[in-house]
Amino acid sequence: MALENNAVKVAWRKLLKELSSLPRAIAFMALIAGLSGLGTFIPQNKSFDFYIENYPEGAEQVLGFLTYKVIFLLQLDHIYSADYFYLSIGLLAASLAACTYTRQWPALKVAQRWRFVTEPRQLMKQGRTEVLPNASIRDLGVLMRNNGYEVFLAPEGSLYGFKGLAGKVGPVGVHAALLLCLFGTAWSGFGTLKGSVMCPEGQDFVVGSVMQPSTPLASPPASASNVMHVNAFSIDYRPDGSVAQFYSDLSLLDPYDGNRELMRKTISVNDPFRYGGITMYQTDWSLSAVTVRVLGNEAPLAKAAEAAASFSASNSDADPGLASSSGAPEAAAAGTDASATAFNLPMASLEGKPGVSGRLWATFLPLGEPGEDGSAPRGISILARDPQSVVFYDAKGQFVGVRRPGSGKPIAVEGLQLVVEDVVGATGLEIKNDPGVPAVYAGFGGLMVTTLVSYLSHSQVWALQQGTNLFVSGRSNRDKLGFDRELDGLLEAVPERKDLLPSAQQPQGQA
Amino acid sequence: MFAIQNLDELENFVRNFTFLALFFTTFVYWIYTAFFTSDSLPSIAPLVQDTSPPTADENEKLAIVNPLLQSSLAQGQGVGFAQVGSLQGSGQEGIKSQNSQTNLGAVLSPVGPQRGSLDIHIHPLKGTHYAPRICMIISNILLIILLIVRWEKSGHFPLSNLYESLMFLAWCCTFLYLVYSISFKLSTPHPLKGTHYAPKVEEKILGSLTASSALLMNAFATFSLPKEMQQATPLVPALQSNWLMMHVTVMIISYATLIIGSLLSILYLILTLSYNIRSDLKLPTSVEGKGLASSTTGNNLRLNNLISNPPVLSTVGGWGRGPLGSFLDLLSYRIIGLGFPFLTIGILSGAVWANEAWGSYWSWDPKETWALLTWLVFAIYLHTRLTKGWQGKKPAIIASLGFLVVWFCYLGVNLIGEGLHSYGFFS
Repeated sequence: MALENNAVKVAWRKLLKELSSLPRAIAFMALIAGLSGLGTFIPQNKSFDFYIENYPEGAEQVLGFLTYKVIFLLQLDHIYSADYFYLSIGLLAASLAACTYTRQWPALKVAQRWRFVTEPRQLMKQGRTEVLPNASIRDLGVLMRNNGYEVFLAPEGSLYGFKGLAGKVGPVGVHAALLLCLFGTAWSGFGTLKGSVMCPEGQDFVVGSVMQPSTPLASPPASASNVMHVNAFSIDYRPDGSVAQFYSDLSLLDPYDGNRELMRKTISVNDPFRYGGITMYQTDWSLSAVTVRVLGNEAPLAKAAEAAASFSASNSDADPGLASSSGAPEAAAAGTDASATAFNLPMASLEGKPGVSGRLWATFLPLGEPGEDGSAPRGISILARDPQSVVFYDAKGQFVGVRRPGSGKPIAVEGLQLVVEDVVGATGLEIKNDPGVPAVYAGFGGLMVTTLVSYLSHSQVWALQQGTNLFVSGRSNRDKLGFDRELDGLLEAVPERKDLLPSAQQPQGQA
Repeated sequence: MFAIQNLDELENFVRNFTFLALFFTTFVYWIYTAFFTSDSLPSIAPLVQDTSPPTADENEKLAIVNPLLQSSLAQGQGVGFAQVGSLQGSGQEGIKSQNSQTNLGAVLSPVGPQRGSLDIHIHPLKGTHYAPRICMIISNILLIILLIVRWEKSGHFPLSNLYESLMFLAWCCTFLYLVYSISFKLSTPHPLKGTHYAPKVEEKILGSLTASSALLMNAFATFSLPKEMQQATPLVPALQSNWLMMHVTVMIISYATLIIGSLLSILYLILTLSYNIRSDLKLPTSVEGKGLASSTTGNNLRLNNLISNPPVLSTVGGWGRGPLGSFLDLLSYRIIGLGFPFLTIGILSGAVWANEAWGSYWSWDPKETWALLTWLVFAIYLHTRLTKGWQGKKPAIIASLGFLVVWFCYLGVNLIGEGLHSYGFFS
């Protein structure tokens, strides 16, 4: 472009030049690398208290200066979503774009042109130079062509050949693919809706209600109004007790069409549920309730039913640690049928409570009235770590026994004969709608291919015939060793022509 | 089949045998590299080209040169540059490439006090040149057998814990060596026509490096890891996917290539530091010290080539510009240049798998983050080579940093303890 006096154009050109500077781009990459690494040493996205506790001020300062105040000030608790991090990525993206525009693309166009040399001096600039006496440029040309080069011969006795143009195109593609990835990631960042839900078997939820948009720009997907019903949740165990796989049988229903089933699928980890723009992943599970049947003796049973009813009445906002028997109305209704009565007892998670390691769910079957002072009533504690077995503790907290759900084998606790019928699980689903994924996947695919292509070597060879002497020069951008050997082989194969060729006799002037 | 019932015993046997094979391979390569180099010279000092049969002139010259060189070789003395320079101005160029081997032998001997391996002129028995490479092939095959036996035992692809991934990493190193050694063999013209194949010193260096790396990986996995961690356990649900094969395989391959490439850079730095400090020789002023470039004035071209292409332990432009230095530099560039696309594919296939498994293709998990860091460091390395003047030492420093980063990414992040990649590693 000719000189323009337009100040904007000048400023733009200067900006492009600054951005496309390679050392600066390297600095951006190093900056992102450094910040990313820092984020792996300082735990991210933890609670406020966590940092106050672990990075205190005063004598115990981590590294002598890293206190929670420093962390919050520098946004080190969420480096990957800090504004300076986004800025660095943005600068890198700008640098990529500027470099592609100002350097790579023009270089690529130049590489396709034939560039002939007219004097040996120019050859020396290109790279390693050799001279072969009594050799013909045409012989070299033929050899090169047989070796995969694209050869161009100028009548003045000058030759240019190249091989592996892909090796020159590759890097442009890499930059373009990277930009596509970053664009897709940005789109994801703005347009994603996601959420998670823990839904017990047999229950359902509205898809859209469990998803939150990441920004106001995110629009709900088509499927947001549908209802997801969990038909069943099961865990496959191996003989040694470890988990083989989690399975959730899900049905998607359309509430505006009489709950017509739109899709039904049993999902597992690595096999999500996809419909109408939303994807549901199996990510978690928990125990929701245990169904316990009481056999025989109805006097304690009636008392238990009464106690449970009054307990739940007096404690309507029940402590979650004490599961009140929602089966109490059931029991009262079942009433005098003494042979069998089933309680469906909701379970609560005790994970993280003092003295509890790992995941644990528990429920409580009260057998008496709450104490005068409001203390908890006498009752049976029922615990489970997974749907395979249920553990019973008596009113004094002593271990009584373990039962498998569905085995039908009763256990005697506090004078009652209990049979565990079923453990109701809940499936933890992650629901997501991410509009940027196609762009990101396209960028990924492009990046994978173009980085491989960039490995190829782009080799160039120039030759000049002066009299009976043949000057040859060449270079390669990647495989310099292999190119050296290849050039050696080519030059070795050029035959010596003792006769003077007509073309060699033409005047080879200095250009 | 005897193996079906006794897979455990077979695995033990193969495991021990693999270790011994790698140990032996390393030993053989080290001995071979250290002592058997008199007839294997760096081949990248450009072979002087003359495609015509020797003219009478040239024959005459050869007659002068060769005895001189051969006698000096036999006596273990170097031919100084002054002596080579005296051949200049005798008219036509022309030392045939076929004899350039002996020719270069003289040029490559350092002036002054002999040092290093070029002292010893042991000529091994014909055919024993193949021994190191055969050892490497045997080690390679044994590692494959070990992995297959584990596959049979556990029923899933043998890459689910640290032990198996280390074995696979060792296999990748040996395989990488075999690939590069074959590509050397294919592209190098036979140095002396009609003689047996003699591996070049660069192939031996690469062999020593990869064999030792594979040995260390194998030894660490076999002897340092607790027995519980070596057992194959069934896969947790998250790993039950076909992506496991692709993602982990490609990542380990990329680690192997990047580790070997950066080891070459570290070797380059160590040698540069040693030789640049010790050497203090000066060359005649007619020499152009620009590495592989050469002057082009007419008939004296080839001789100037000879002079201006410095010998192995050259001080022209520093050791780093000499044939061996350039070789290490360029080979590490090439190997890292291969590892980088593999790393890209590995990271991206991991991201796609994560999206299929739990809906998020990037969650800044420590392992993911450090893989990205590795990617950035090596991207910086590849880009610094584009900057003028940044050949040799500066990129090598970045690659050396990359070596540490790769190891931290592979093993170190598991010490941090949290994250999605804490399957069966240290915690």
